[in-house]
Amino acid sequence: MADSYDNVLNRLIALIIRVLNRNVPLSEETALQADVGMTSLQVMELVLEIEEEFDISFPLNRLPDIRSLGELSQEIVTLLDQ
Amino acid sequence: MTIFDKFAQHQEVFEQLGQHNAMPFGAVTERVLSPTEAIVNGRQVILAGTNNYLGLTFEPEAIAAAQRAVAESGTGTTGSRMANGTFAEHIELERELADYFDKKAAILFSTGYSATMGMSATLAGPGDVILLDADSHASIYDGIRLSGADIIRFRHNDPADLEKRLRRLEKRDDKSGDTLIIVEGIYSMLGDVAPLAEIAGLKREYDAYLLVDEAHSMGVLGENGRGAAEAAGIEDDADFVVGTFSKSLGSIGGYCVSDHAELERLRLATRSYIFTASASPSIIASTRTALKIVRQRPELRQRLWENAHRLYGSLQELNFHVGPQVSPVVAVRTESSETAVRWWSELFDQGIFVNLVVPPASPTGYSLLRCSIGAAHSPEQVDRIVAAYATLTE
Repeated sequence: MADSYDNVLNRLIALIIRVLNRNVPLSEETALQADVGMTSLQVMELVLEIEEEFDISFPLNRLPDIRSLGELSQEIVTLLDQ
Repeated sequence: MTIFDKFAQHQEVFEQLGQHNAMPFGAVTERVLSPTEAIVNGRQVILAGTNNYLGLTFEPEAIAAAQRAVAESGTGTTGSRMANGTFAEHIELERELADYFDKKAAILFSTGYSATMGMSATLAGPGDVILLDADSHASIYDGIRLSGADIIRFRHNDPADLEKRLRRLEKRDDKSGDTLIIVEGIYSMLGDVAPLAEIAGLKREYDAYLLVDEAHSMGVLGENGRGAAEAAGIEDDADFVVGTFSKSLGSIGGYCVSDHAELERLRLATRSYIFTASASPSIIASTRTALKIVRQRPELRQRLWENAHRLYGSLQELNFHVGPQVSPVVAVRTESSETAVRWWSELFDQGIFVNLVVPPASPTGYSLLRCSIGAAHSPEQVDRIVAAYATLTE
């Protein structure tokens, strides 16, 4: 049974705060690069952590279509379903 | 808003460099004096970061061969390999590369970048998966973006992490595609060597293909200088070996060799091979000569490693944060890009010309002052490099 969207979003937000090692306001509308200021390298490093957290393969080629944490959570839900 | 606004960050980096009255990325070599010395921005310097690993750029035999080729065949081919740009010498060099690497097939490219980028873009396609080392070169990242394959990174030089990702892929519903693992022999930033024996074992276990980029390891590692795959004893597992002529062979160009005879089909599909002019006759001539020298003079490799040990060991003794292992690529890590820029300038003022690498080009987010030492450096030159580093303070 795959995780629900809300559960994935909450786990993702907790993961990002852990990776950034600072408290930042995050919601499903937040954009990692534009709003949080993460570099493309940091986003790729985050993908490695996402793969660990959710035990999935997350292809980097999906990233260009993802802007917000909501879209990222939805992608994770899709990958968990596969 | 203009089309140039998105480059503002790049401009900031350049302005930061300008504060120290130095422009590392704008250094102009006005005259080359030897494989190890030149006049750069009006100053005579030791070339400490040129990737000229075997020091072959001024080899008399290679220069004579290039001069003959210019006189006999002209300055350029003015055409792609698919059109009018295949000369007999291109075919000869492909044969010689296949023979040197003991592989069935070889393809030449006009640059190392186009070889690595082209093979990374073409070998795997939609439905396939590429697993690449996180610290892979930009040419690999550029290529895989074009491939249409699913791209999965694994942690740098970490076979356990690679295996974890291979295992996850086994769980995917659709396992019809092929898997291509891409690694480098020696990594260009820190000079560390890929654990190829373990990676080749995983490649076999999970029935994947393996591509090894030997750009910095060809001529440097292995009994015959064939690279990290030879040194690790896994040449039969390296399905595709790519590399460059612009380092150990002292010219410019690239190659892919393989025991898969089907490599020939890639000529019809690899855009960086098809849609560019072939290497000029002089380049091919000097490269062929340099390759012959690599085979004939293993003592160059021995001298290279003596220099590498001398430089790496000395910088380590001075408590610089160097890479994880002795290598011809000797990178010193700094905590801030400001320190790196200042150190670069202070080294340059003392006649030492190294490479400055600042984020995002560096893999770790740190800045690097990178030397690539060569066989042509004398022990005295290495000591002068070390003496200049010894004057640097935080």
